[in-house]
Amino acid sequence: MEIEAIGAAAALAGAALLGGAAAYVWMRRRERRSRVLFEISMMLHSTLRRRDQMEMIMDSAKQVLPVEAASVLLVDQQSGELFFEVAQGEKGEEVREIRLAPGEGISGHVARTGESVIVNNAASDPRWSNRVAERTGFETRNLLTVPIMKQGSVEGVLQVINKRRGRKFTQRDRQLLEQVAKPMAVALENARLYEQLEQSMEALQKTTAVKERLESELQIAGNIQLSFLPRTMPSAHEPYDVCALLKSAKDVGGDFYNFFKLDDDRLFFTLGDVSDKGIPAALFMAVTLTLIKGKMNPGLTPGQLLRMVNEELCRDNPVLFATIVCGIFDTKTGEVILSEGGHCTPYVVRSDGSVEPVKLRKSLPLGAMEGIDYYDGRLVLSPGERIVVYTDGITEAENGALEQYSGERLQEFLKMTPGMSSAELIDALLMHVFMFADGAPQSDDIAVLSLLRRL
Amino acid sequence: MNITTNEHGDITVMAIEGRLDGQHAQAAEQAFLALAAQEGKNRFVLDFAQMAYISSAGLRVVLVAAKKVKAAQGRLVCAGMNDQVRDVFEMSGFISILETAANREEAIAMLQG
Repeated sequence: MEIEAIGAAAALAGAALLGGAAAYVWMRRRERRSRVLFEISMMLHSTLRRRDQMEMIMDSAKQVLPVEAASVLLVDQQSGELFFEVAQGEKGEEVREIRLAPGEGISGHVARTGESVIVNNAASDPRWSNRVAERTGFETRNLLTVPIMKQGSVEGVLQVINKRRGRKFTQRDRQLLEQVAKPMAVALENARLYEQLEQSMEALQKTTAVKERLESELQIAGNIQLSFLPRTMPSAHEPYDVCALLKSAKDVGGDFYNFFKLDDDRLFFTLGDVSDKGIPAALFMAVTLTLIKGKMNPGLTPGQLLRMVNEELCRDNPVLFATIVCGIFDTKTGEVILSEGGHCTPYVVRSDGSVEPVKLRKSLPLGAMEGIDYYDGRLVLSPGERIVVYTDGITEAENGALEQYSGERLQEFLKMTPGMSSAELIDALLMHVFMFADGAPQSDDIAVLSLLRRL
Repeated sequence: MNITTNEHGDITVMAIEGRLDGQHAQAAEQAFLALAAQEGKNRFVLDFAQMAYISSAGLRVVLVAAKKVKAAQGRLVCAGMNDQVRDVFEMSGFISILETAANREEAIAMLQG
């Protein structure tokens, strides 16, 4: 260690000048100081927190230089002010809140000049600022102030106050304190790097947490969405074959469907699309489906139901809306009563393979505007015929050339489906859409429902 | 998406060009609401002549605008829809609550009349 080597060399030189017991005492003292300086330099590796390092360094310094108080002031690089990084002594707490203007007081003088200053009679020194003394009531008799230098510029000052037993600060004290201040500059630099590291770690942790939260939100939204869909398809013994499928794009969307029996002869079905994605859409979907199921009763037509549900939804002034189609299928007669709100055109596939768009009187999506009416339309399915409802994720599926799958392609496809079960139709349709997209990513949710009146 | 606005007397024309989809809906909504917040403005034309595509999120922007103008007892005319954009407004039912015009000039004339 360089510091120790210097100390040892100085000790030998000193011993040559003196003699006997005096030389022994002098050497012991030199050795103790050297050891403390060595310890200080070692401490730099024991902790990386700036304040801890400073405190430890000053504690050690006080072993060889007994004083009543010690403090480290750092230069605020923006304002040039000095602020107390560490203040030891009985008034430390009060002192820490004080900031010194550039050049103010002895600390300011040292910070400005980079030269150490010994003041053995504080009260009579013109540079002495009594601001700190007044604030704290701490009486300063004498003080020693040295700069903390890094590559020629002053980072701060180290100051010790009131040497114990009424003694004066000496040039040797100054040299010692300058030696103590040296590793402080290194400590400051280390601490600064460490703080930067900590900050980037913290930023990384936050980013990761946000990402995880978003991912888990999407998962929650997905679970909400799925939990509201019917889990089992009706049995093969029913006079109808209904099947539906929801395929979300990367984000969780708000497409939905449901079907349930109203009584022995009637099946209710619905399918829709919320105008957004993620948690808000999933919740809006959940509310909509809950209202539909809760409000529906065998005495209502689909149009009456939608009006009631819409009034309920609009009460909360929603920022979302949902396009919807819903219907009641009479399993005995094959009659279907349908109503819609802003949804894309359903199709009927006749048993000869002809495809008919279902012309319904249009209304607005649910939640868009209160007080509006929803209208009922009527059609009849013969055995072997079906109705297909879907969301615009099908017709607006795009290929690489940004062409859309479109209603025309959907109609062409449906012409090929007589004889297929509902599950087969849905499988084939998805395949058809994905072949068309030809690797272009699915940008919107897809939902489709097929209801076949069995032969 | 690109938005340009200009004034014809006390009529404000806001042209939305390109794709009005989920990615741009919020910017478009804020642009309109900022206009509508200005003192004395309650007659608007939304010019869709250069609109390539509108999604359901885009429809919501138009809905918000229509409600805002209605609340301010003003008028809003949607102008210059191409066939594809008109299809979306028809399919969604929104066409029934909107005033439309073939182009910007016709829309301004409607509001002046």
